[in-house]
Amino acid sequence: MDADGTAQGDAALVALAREGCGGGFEELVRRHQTRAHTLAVRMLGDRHEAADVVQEAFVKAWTGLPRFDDRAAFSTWLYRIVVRESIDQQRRRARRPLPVEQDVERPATDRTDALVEQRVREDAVRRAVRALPEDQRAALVLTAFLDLEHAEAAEVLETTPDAVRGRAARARRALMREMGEWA
Amino acid sequence: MSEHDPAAGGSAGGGPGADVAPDLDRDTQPCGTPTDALLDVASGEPAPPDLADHAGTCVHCRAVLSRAEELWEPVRQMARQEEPPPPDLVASVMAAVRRLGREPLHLVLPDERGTTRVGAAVIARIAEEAARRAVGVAAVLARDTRAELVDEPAGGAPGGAGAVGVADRLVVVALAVVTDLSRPIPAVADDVRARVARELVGLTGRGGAQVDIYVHDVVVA
Repeated sequence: MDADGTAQGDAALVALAREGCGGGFEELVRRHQTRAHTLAVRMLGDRHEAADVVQEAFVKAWTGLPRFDDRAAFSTWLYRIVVRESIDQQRRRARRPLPVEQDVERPATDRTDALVEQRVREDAVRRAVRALPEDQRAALVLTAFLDLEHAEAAEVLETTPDAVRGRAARARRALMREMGEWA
Repeated sequence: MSEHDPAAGGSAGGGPGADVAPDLDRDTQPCGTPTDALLDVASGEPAPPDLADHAGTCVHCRAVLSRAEELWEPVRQMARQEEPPPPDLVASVMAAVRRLGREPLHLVLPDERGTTRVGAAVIARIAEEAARRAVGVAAVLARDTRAELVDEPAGGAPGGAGAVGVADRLVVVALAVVTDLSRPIPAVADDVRARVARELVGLTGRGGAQVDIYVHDVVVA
């Protein structure tokens, strides 16, 4: 189904859910769970935290349905909740010390196995993304990882497309320089 | 790229940046090209025509582009991967939604000096009293809507938390009304809505109240 078709289907499901139809809301969860989870994983760099954040985001979407503005796409609104929840989660985590096992080893010179190398690079990307300022990280994740247009990402972040473009560019440059440190 | 120094650029003899060590930390390359512009291109942004023309022949730019594309590749790979959610996510969300329907709701009234919480039963009682004063209403009870909201068998009694919903600044109250046929039902409903909304906003200071009405029965005098 194309994006327009999905949006129209979402609108019908939102209307059902607003009437109190749990089945309608469940279908919305099914449709959007993978993208929402991908967004949270990229924002947080941690799958366990991401699963909790996505569950909380969907519950907030359910309780917030009366406030949902029909002019927006359900996905845009949901992504906004996921981004906010992810930032809140990271702020909570920042107040706790990082567990030792989450520390990523720098690649050792004698480790030549391709899978190990790839895993180390992915960990480095995750860590570098997580270290970005919140506004840059959100702009980067939405545009580079979820492949949203600047205008759509701007709607999610309640800002302008130019602001998203600038934040994403700063994030990409910072990320690349950080990756250069690891390589 | 007006900043380019043609003398510093020039054609590369070997492969991309074969004899030039790329330096991503400097603001501009020796040819005058801003490094950030090259990093943008390496990460997939469209290159301005003048930069594309220049970078095609400049050893410094080609070296930076080559290195930056290499660094960006893990990000590109990660962008192609979706992160499958846990298999029980849908069930967990719906279970949480159902639990929500059973938990006591309250209206939160924040204040600089503390927080006041008004229980759902109190809101339901205020709404019932206000609705009862409307002409044409013979009886009224706050109506439990939890069963409809979560697709579960009805289990709650009228007047409980299921009759009241709170979302940010909006309070939603569901009322079951018995009319006495002295007025048209729409007029009774309008009167009930106006009275309940006025009373709730007046007593709680909240910005809005939505009143859903179910006309349950009529009494004939």
